[in-house]
Amino acid sequence: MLTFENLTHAAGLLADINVIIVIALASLYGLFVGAMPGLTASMATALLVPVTFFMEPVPALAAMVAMEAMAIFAGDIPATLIHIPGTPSSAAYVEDSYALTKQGQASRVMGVQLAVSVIGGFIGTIILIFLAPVLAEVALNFSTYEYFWLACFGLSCAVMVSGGSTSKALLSLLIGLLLNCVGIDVAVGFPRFTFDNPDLFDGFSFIPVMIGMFGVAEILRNVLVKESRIAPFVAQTGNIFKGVWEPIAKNWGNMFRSGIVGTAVGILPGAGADIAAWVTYGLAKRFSKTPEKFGQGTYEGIVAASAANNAALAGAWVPALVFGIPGDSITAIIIGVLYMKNLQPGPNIFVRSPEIILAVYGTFILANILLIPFGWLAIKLASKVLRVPRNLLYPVILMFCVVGAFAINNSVFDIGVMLVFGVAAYFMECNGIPVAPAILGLVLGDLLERSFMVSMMKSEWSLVPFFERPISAVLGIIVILIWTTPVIIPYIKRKMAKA
Amino acid sequence: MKKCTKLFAVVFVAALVLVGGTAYAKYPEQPITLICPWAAGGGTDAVARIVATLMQQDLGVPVNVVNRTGGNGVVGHQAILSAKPDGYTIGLGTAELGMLHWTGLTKFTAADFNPIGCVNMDAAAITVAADSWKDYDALMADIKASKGKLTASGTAVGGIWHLAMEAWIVGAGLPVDQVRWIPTEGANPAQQELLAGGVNMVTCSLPEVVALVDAGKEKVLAYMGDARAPKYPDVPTLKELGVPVTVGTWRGVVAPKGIPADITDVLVASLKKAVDSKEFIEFMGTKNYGIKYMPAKEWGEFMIAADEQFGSVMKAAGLSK
Amino acid sequence: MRFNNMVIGIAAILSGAFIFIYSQSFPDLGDGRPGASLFPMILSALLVIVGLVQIPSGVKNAKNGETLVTRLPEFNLHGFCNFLVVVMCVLFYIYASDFLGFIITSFLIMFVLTLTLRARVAVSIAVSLGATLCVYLMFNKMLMVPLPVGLFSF
Repeated sequence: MLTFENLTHAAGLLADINVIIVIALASLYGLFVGAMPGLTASMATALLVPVTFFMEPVPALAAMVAMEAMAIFAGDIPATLIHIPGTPSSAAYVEDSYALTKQGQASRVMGVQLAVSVIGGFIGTIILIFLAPVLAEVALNFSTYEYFWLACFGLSCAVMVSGGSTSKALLSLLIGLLLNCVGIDVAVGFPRFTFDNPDLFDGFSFIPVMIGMFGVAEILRNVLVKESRIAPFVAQTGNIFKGVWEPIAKNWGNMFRSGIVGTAVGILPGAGADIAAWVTYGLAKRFSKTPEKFGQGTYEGIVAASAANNAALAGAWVPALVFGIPGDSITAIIIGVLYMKNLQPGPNIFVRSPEIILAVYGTFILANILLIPFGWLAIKLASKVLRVPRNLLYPVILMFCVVGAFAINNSVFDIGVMLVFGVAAYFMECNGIPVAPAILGLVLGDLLERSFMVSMMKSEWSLVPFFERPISAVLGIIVILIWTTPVIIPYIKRKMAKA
Repeated sequence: MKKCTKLFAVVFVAALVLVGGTAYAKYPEQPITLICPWAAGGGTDAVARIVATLMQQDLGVPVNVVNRTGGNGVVGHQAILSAKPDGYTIGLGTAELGMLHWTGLTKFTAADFNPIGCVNMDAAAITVAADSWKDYDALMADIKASKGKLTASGTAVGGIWHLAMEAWIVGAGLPVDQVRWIPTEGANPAQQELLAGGVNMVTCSLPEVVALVDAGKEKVLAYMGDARAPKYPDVPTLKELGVPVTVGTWRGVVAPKGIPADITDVLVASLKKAVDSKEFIEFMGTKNYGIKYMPAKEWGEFMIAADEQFGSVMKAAGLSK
Repeated sequence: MRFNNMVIGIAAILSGAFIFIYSQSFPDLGDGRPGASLFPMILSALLVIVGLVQIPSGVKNAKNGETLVTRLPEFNLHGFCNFLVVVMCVLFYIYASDFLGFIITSFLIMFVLTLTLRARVAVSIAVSLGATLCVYLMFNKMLMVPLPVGLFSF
């Protein structure tokens, strides 16, 4: 697929002035959203969908890629300046960056974060470029049996990595899967749980649900608490890139390991940039000679996690493009966009529209290069951005939510869907029920049921083919191990202890 | 405070300009809405948008495409029917408008629409993996020899390509369950199954398989159109092979029942111009879509006939309520 | 609001049971093979089990003095009003936008919301009008989304 013709075609698609403008605007939007505490990258993506809906596929995807790369970096800025992470992905190292800020190193911290974010982004992009086509070649031979196990694998990961109570995560997953049962079913074409409402024949529209769960829920959460006074700024006038080299040079190996681990976490379905940051921060601590300094202001943890969260972004695109299984909640939304553009994700997309894939790679590279000047600008403007009054911002965001939910199907019904899911997501989070598994259930539920029912119809209700085909068998065993090891290992340990 | 007042004034004036006056006279005076029952980015959407652009040039008012998706086309077609019959809301109807009521999902039939004109028709093709059967006769021999063993796909249960397969099998004098239908989300996932060995054949429309046929991964064994497809002149039609069946999807402009005759005439004339234009022919050519123009009356009769054909096949296949 | 795990568990059990019974009415594939009802039945059965798992921890928490419904620490009346106003605004849009048209509805919602969140009146009017027009221009003019027109035809 890497023919010269495809490359020039992709370059031509990206060099279009409209695409460049779209990338620039999306970058600014990403920086703003990332730098605003309380606005997450997932929410920004959900709100961007209605706009990209009306674009050609290349600018639409380019906007998403540029936006997410900028937003994840920009989340570091308020974490450093006012001790509030701009997005959950910056939460892992907020203590360290703020501690350094109090020592008067704010500019240097942000300079380091910007530099390692760019490097992390490149690591993820390179892995994406080389791994995705190889996996796609393998996936060309995937039938419904393999896809069933892949869907199971994704859902299992979502439950296992969500943190907190596993039973609550499972509850959330079941809610998502059951909501997915609404609409015309795959096996017989019967409208389930629709109560004769044609708006429900296709099930809940994914984008309004997302806008509700990320956008509306966020607004509700924020208006409920009294506006706390923003912490006073620590004046920062120094040169951002001064003294950046030293902490990076000291953490060279740490940074590359974190970039690779971060990408791997991104590839895992259901785990995205935020989990990548926590995992690599923990790893850096374990490998460190001075683990006691973590949380007190050390560059080791910042370099590790800041590189990892940007690397995870590109990693999440690997399963999204190759299998149509999202690597994180942002790509979950992007898969919806691909379907709307009639670009079904899956191995065939590499044959059918190679120029789109190359354009995605190109945008990742471009976005990481652009991150340097744009990130610098964002750091310089940070104090202004952080002073935008919330009481004016939330109403505007709510209006965008309403219009965005409406725009996908031009249906008022979807605004109601958005509201219900927004309120529901708020109450779920209050009660320790994570939202992420429900979203993955909603995204993968259809694939799970369809691949299972279709497999059974093909095999005339024999379960044998699920373990007969080699790749299918391996995937099946992995899924079974994921669920049994947490039970078996303690049991073996106990036996060993007794013996 | 002064700043605020100024801002307020500017915004207010802008508001007045935006919503500023409209006077009414002869049709068309307002923007026209063209409802597309399928999602943006798909084939129907592409056709809707080119038709809208060309009619807009001719009529001199904006023709906006509005996607109302959901329920296998139920939502969009219902929205066309329930619109005010004033000529300002029209829609792009697809073959599903004559199929949905047979499954009991809706009440409306093809006869409930006011036809403006058909613009496109794409016949189904029988497509198999490149390394499987060498021709149609070899495939047919295997189908006859093994009842219920071979599988086909292309869309959901009861979709247009499912009907195409059943019409073909019944037309060849075999029982409806000779080939099993495996539901998939559409032509692309069906072809993924085909290449992975999950199903034996795909019976979706020709433009949908062109990419993978040209990539050498699939081949077309037979075509369900009236005559051979210009893209693949070597592929025989089912008629030539002794099965008198033609099945395809079609798309055309429809309006809600009860719009005035003079408005219908304006729309029919405008659509005819659009279909005859160079841009339309070029566009359909690049997408490999077949152009098929039928004027209002002829197409109305065609739709009702198609509705009945669908009904009889769906009854035979046990898909109808 | 935070519910005791017993409440969550019982809610899960009841909805699971309802879905399980309701999905019995779905058609099957023939030959006694399950069809449309298979997945809802498996999932609702799992929901009942997960609901049961919640009960013991709920009982334990209740013994430690947790009430069935707990107020969150950050809860206050003012915030709760804000919450209700946001929900009412969206409901108002759903029901009123077809009559009033997008511009009026959107302006009213933004105005009420900004005031509720304690912005000054002048600022509130300016922002509401400005944002309404921005959204209108962007979605209706640039992106061609048919925003509701209303009785006043704008």
